[in-house]
Amino acid sequence: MIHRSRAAAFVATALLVAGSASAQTQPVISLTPANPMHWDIAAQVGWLAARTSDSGVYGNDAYNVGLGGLSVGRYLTPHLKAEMQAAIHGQGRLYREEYLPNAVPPFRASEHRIRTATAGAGLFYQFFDNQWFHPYLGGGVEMLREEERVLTIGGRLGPSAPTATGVSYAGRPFVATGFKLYVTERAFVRAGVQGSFSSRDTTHVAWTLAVGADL
Amino acid sequence: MKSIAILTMIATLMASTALARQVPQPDVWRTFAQQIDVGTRIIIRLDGGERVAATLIHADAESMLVQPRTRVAVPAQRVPYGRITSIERDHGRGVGVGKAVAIGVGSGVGAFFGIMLILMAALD
Repeated sequence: MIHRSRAAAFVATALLVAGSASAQTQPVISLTPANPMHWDIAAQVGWLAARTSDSGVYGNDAYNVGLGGLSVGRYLTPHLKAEMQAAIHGQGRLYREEYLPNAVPPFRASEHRIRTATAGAGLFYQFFDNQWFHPYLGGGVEMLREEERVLTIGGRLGPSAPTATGVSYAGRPFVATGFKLYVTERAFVRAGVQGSFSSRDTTHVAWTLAVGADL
Repeated sequence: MKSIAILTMIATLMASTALARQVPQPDVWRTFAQQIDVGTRIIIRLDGGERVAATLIHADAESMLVQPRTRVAVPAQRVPYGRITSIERDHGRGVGVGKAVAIGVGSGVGAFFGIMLILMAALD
């Protein structure tokens, strides 16, 4: 519920900003080109720091992997952009131990191999007009697909349990910030950080570097 | 009573002197613009608060024609003197401080991610 209200607040703010921008009078000097570009397409790589939703009694619940993705944005105004993005992440590994009171041995170790992918949509506000450097702020909602394989290790005295695989899906809001640095009139390098939230805490923080172009 | 009258006279005189010193702003910028060489880089502040970097193309009695300095070229535009709050020469040469900082930050971030990716590939 908190996430829905956060997302609603973000969308309302973005719409207010867009509305006030469009309501402004014609400037004395217009910096908008006669034929402005409408699309922003980029490919990105990065580094994802993730924390899983549940942890074992012992062990770690965070991992870091590389990521790759694509984004396609449509400029609604010179400053406001609607964007869709998708990314796949490398396989993260977590090692956990569970305490089993009546078993021999009383601990069971497991290796969790987690692979995630996201697809989302959001609104981004880009500062400055027609310049070489544009900071941006944005947010939206993304869908997370998480595939987790669990390899249970019995320990010295027990056999290994069979591998279990589970796939789950979750929707969650994200916020992002960064900057675009144009290297030509249309081509740019974009660096940013994006955090997405679960019901408990921030679960994914992605640092990304993208190359793209306005079309 | 007498002193109040004297103070009032002094205040009135000071106010009228201050008003006499003020020159209408459009006249100031017309004179200034007509003395700047064509092709000079300038920074114009407008009454709406905008700050625009531009190149002077022409200055006549009513307005100045400027070419805004932007990433994607935009048409030259006329700016009436009455809308100008200030004009100053832009002494930036070549790569500006902002652009240099941006390039530095961009290069640093790029190098950081490059090293991170190499490290991750090596660790796997």
